[in-house]
Amino acid sequence: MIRLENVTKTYVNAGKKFNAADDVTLEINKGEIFGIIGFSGAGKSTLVRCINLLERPDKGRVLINGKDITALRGAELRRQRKKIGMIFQHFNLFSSRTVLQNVIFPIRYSGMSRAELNSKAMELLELVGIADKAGAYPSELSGGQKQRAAIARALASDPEILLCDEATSALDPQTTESILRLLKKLNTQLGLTIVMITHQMNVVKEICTRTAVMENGKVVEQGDVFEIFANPQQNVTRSFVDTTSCLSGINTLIEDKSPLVQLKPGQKILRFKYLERSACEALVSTISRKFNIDLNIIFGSIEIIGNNPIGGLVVIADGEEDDIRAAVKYLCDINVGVEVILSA
Amino acid sequence: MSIRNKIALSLSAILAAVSLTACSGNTASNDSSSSADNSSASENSSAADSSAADDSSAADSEVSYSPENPVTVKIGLTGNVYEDIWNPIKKKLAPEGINIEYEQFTSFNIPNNALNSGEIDMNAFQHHAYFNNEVATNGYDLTAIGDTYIVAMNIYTSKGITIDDALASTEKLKVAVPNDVTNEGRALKLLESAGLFTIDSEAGASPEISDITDYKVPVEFVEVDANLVYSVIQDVDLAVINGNYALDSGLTADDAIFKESEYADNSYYCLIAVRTEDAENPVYKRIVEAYQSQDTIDIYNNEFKGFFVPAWTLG
Amino acid sequence: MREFFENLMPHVIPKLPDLWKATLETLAMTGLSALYILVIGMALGILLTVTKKGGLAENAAVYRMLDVIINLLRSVPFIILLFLLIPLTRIISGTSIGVAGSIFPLIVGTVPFFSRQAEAALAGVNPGLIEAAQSMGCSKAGIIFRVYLRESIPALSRGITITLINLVGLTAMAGAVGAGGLGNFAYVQGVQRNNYDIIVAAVIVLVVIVQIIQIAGNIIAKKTER
Repeated sequence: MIRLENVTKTYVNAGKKFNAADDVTLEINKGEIFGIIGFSGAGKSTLVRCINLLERPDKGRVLINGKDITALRGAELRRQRKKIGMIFQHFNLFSSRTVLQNVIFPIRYSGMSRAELNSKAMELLELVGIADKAGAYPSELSGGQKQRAAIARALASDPEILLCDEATSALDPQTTESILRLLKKLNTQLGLTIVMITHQMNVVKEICTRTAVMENGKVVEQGDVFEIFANPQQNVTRSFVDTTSCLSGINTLIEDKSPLVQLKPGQKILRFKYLERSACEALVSTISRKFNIDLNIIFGSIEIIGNNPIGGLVVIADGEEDDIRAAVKYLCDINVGVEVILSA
Repeated sequence: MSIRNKIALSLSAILAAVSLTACSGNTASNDSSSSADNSSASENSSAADSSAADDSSAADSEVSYSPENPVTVKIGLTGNVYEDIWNPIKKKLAPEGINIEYEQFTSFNIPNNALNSGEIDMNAFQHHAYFNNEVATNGYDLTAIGDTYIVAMNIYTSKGITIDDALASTEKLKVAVPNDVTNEGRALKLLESAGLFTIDSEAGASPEISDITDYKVPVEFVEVDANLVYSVIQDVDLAVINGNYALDSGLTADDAIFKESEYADNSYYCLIAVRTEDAENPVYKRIVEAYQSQDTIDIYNNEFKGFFVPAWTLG
Repeated sequence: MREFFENLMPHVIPKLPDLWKATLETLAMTGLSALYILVIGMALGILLTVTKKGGLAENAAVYRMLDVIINLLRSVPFIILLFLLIPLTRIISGTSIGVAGSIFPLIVGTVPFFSRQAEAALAGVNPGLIEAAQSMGCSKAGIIFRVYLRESIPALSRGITITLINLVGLTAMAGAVGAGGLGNFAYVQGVQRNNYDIIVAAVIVLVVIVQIIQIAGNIIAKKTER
């Protein structure tokens, strides 16, 4: 539905040119929630602004539903923009207008009557869950309420696409959670295609179906969210994935020579990693029984991404050397990744 | 007065003085005493700190002057152009042992003060009306020892009318007059003598508009700063302009449609002033004598195009 | 009571009609020029905002030209401007004297000031709002009126208040061209003639006028602040 072809955007800073977006090619499918993640300055905001031409690419094309919109200007551009909604990190609500007036803003002169405008706006406010705040001013709202109002406003012109520029970065974890749930609901209920810009991997984990990872203006990795988490290829991707699980904490413990990892002879620290979707068996107890090993779990991180479990365990395995080896073989056979971190 | 009013008073005085006096005639050359503007703030840049003269010798002693014992006399003036009048006198008196030095001031309210305090020995820039007012208000101990000239104040127009036309007017005549005390008073007296109205005989030396009792012609006064009367001449029917400003603006005495001719008293005669204790000093008397000569009259007629009239020849 | 005032302000009582006339002149000069100043100044403020770097209709040439002209006019002291404009004033207003003759110079003298106030007020609008409006397909004109102007109403009303009070101050100088007003009244009748009570009376009226403007401005700013 959205296709970016070789999009490049160049800026000149103190006489030097640099590419905020560098030859980016991406395809976003209808109805999906697509994440774009990267550290600050990676070029994500610039890229998403190329979609609704708030930034005009210096090279490349932007196609929406097959139509090249890169060269649009004036009234045509404005018409196209009405089909794309956008929400921002700092909400950008009009402070001199009530919530209701904010929501009506984009459709005020579309030919609808006052009554029609009001009822449509109220519908949207119901949809996002703040109908009771219709007459309030933005200064009276909490962060979560403001973002809901902004979402309602972005949806007023019935767009097919919603761009979210760091939409939850300024919200506390609980509010972030509720906004993400709302976005997911809108995606399912309205078939809204959503593009999420974020630097928070857990946002991607929570609702995105596919994601792209950006670094220095380039897309370094992209794909299915589960795959990215299961098999991060690039270092930058890996560091993002690590931020969402605690498993890498084992390295710190070993470095600090923590008492938790003081091994007795015969013990090993193992790391298990679920690679396949099918690995949903009662792994720990099976191994214990089958191979007569004690497994002491130090770290565990198992969660569901898109209905599939992902994650792993860090355990201290205690038992006979042969038994441990057999257990490891067994795990490899059922496609659980095993890594020996420390041996005593 | 309440504190608030006192503060407000001072602030407004500063505001009004600074802003409004910026517009009063402060061009050095044409400030002749006939426009007695009390420019209080602004133009105090000119050195009021002329060194206390070395002419104390001339001041207090009755010793005569001579080429062997020359004396220096500092004269306060308010415009470079007046040096043209004094230069021949300076030249004439130098061989006699009197050395004249000029001290220029850019505003009117300093020369009398400077004279009174001994910074200068003599000044020549003001007329009697202004002088009397200054002495009365500030208590200076000064005396006028000789009249110099009178600069006429005349009525001009840009509308091509005559005074008789004006007098016959049935519609309101717009008349521009200077807005300061002595000049406005003088202008009203001039207009009275032209026949436009009658002024209450009880009114003082400088009548105000409210002193007019009987209008022969309907008049609408436009009060502007003395040096700006000429610039509004196209917007009014009659404009009463001080001679020196008229001179600056390129008008001649003959351009006037009505002239100041009779002078009831010496109010507007310009004068030479000294400290009262020096009034009999022969040096100063000699200076006055040298001033009131044909040479001076010639300069009046030539350089000042008839605007300056020798006051000592008038009654 | 009347005697009390006559003793306190001996010169003012007979001149009360003149004081009243001067008050009306000050109000007339302020009121008649205010509308032009606000409209023209607002337009220039908008122009400055949209043509500056990063603005809606970026145009370095226009911006620089406006910037220079405004700075130039602001550097000329009003009393000098008043004098320099006399011929032009005559062409535009038919006369250079009186209240009528002071309107044009007052406008020229105050518009640069207010356009800077307006520019500052508009600059206070969060640029994120402009982006949001653009993303909703709002036209440039729409952004100017529906976002820039509306969002800066409180700041604009503060700027207008400052400008009007400044304007009242400038009317004091217009007395030089015979426009009258309280400043001229205070100076000619008060300062030149050493009548302190007249000065005080005129100042009191001026203070009242300025206070009314300030209070009105505060109320509007407060009411529109959300």
